[in-house]
Amino acid sequence: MNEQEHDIRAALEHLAALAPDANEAAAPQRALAKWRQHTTAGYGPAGRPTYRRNIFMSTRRIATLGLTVVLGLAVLMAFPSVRAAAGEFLGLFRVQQFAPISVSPQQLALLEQLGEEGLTPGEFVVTQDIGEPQTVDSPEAAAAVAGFDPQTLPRRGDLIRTYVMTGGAGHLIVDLAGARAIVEAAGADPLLLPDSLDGAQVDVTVYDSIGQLYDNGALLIQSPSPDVNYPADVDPTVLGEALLQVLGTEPAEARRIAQSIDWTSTLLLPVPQDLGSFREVTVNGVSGVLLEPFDPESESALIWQKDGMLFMFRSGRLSIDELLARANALR
Amino acid sequence: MLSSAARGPLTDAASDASLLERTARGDAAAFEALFQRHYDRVYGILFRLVGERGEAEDLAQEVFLRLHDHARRRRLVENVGAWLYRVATNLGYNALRDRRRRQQRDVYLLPVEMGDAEADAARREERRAVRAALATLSQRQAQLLVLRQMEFSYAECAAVIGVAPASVGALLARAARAFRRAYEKQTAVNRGGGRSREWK
Repeated sequence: MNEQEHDIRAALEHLAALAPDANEAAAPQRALAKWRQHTTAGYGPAGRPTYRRNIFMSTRRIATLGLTVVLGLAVLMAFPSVRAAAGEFLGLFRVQQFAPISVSPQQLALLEQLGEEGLTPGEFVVTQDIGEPQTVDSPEAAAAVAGFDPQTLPRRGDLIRTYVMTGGAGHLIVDLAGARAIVEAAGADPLLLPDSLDGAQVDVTVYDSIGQLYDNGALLIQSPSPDVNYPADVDPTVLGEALLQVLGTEPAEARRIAQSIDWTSTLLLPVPQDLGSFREVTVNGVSGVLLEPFDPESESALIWQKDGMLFMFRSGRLSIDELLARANALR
Repeated sequence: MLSSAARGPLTDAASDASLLERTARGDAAAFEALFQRHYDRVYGILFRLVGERGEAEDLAQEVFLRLHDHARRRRLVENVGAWLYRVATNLGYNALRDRRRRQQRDVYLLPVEMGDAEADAARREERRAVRAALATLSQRQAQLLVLRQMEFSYAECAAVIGVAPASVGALLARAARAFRRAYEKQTAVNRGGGRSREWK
C-alpha cells in the first residue's frame, strides 16, 4: 500500500468514528411521521402541497439572504420583482454609482440552484428587520418619521400615496469554504477569495426609505445611502472580480472591469439578458441607469444617486421620456 | 420495513424521476416512497457532519422539504439521489462550519466530561477532533470523505459532487491528505490540553 492509499484508508478509519451508534441510528418511521405532521393535509385543492414551514423557514431565509448579500444580486434579478425588492435594493451597499452588467439567464438559474442546494457564503444574521411600508398622510409626515426631506414633483404631481419603510441592520459572517464552493460551482476561480476572508464580518445598516406612488402607477423610492462596513484587510477589488466571474464574466474581462470600478461605492446591477436592457442616462445632472424590459407589460426603472441619496423611479404607465422628465423635475 | 431500497439508490434514478414527477402532480404517496428510499443515507450524512441526532433529523426534514419544493415548482432533477445527498452534505457542512465559528474561541477549553467510561470519552473526543478537522477542509473535500466513508461508489460520489468519475480518485487522495494535516494540527492543539490522538 502506497502512502496515498494509506492516507485514504486512515482518513476513512478516522471518519468511521462519526457513524451513528445504535441509539443514534436513523428512525425513518418517526421521520416520516414528522414529515406528515409538517405538511398540512398533504395536498391542496389544485394538487399542490401546502405546508406549515415555521420550523424550517428561518434557515432557508438566512441562507437566501446570505447568498443575496454576497453575490450582490440585491435587485433586478428580474424586472417584475423590482417592486418587491425595492426595499432590499436600497439596503445593501453604500451606493454612489451603478455598474449594470448583463447576465445570462442560465447563469442566474445556476446561482439560484446553488442557493436552493444549500450553498451559502456564510451566516447572515438580521439584527433589525426592514419594516413593512407604513402609509403616512404626506411627504412632510414621511419626513418627520424618516428624518430627511424627500424630493417631490412640483405641486406633488398626481401623488396618491406616501409611505415609509423603516430601515434595518444585519451582518454576514463569511464562511470561506462555502463562499469558495459557490464561486467554484459557478465556474469561477475559488482561490480569488483570500484566506483572510474567512470569518470576516460585514455589517450592513439600512436607513429609512420613503416611497411616493402616483396616479399613473409610477413609484419613487428614496433613501440615504446605507452603510456597509467590512474589515480593512478585505480587498474589495478582488471580491468584485470574483463576483463578476460568478455572474459569468470571462476571467480576463472580470479582472479588467474589477480594476476600473471603485467597489467601495458601486452597486453591481445584474440585468438578465433575456428580460431587458440598460443604458446610461443623465438625471438631475448626474449619471443614472435606465433599465428597460423587453416585455411591454413590465415597467422600466430609473436608478440614480445624488447628494448621498439613492433614488429609484419605476415607470408605471409613463413612457421613458415622461419618466425622465419627471425625474428631472424632482426637487 | 423502511429503506430496504436504501442501498444503491442512485441506481434507481429512473424510478426516482418517476416518483418525483408523480409528486409534482400531487401524489403524496410517491413522495413518501422517495422519502423512505433515501432517508437513511440522508440522515447518515447529516449525523456524521453535525453529530447530534435532533439536529440531523431537522436538517433531513429540510433536505426533503427542498426536494418537495423542487417538485412542486416542476424543477428538473436528473438524479434525485445525487441531488438529495448533495443538499444534505451542503446543509450539514454549513451547520458544522457555523458551529465551528461559534465555538472557535472556547472549544479547546471545554473540559472532558467526568464520570463516563474511558472508551466513551475517547470516542467522543475522536469525533470532536474528526469534525473539527473536517470543518477546516474545502466543502468538496469534506463531502467526498463523508460519502466514501459511507461506502458511496466513485460513480455515486461523482454524481453527488458534480465531477467526472475518473477524477474522484485524485480528489479523494487530496482530501485525505488535507484531512490528515488538519487532524494532526487539531490533535497537536489538544495535546497541549492533555488530550492526545494519533494518526492511524
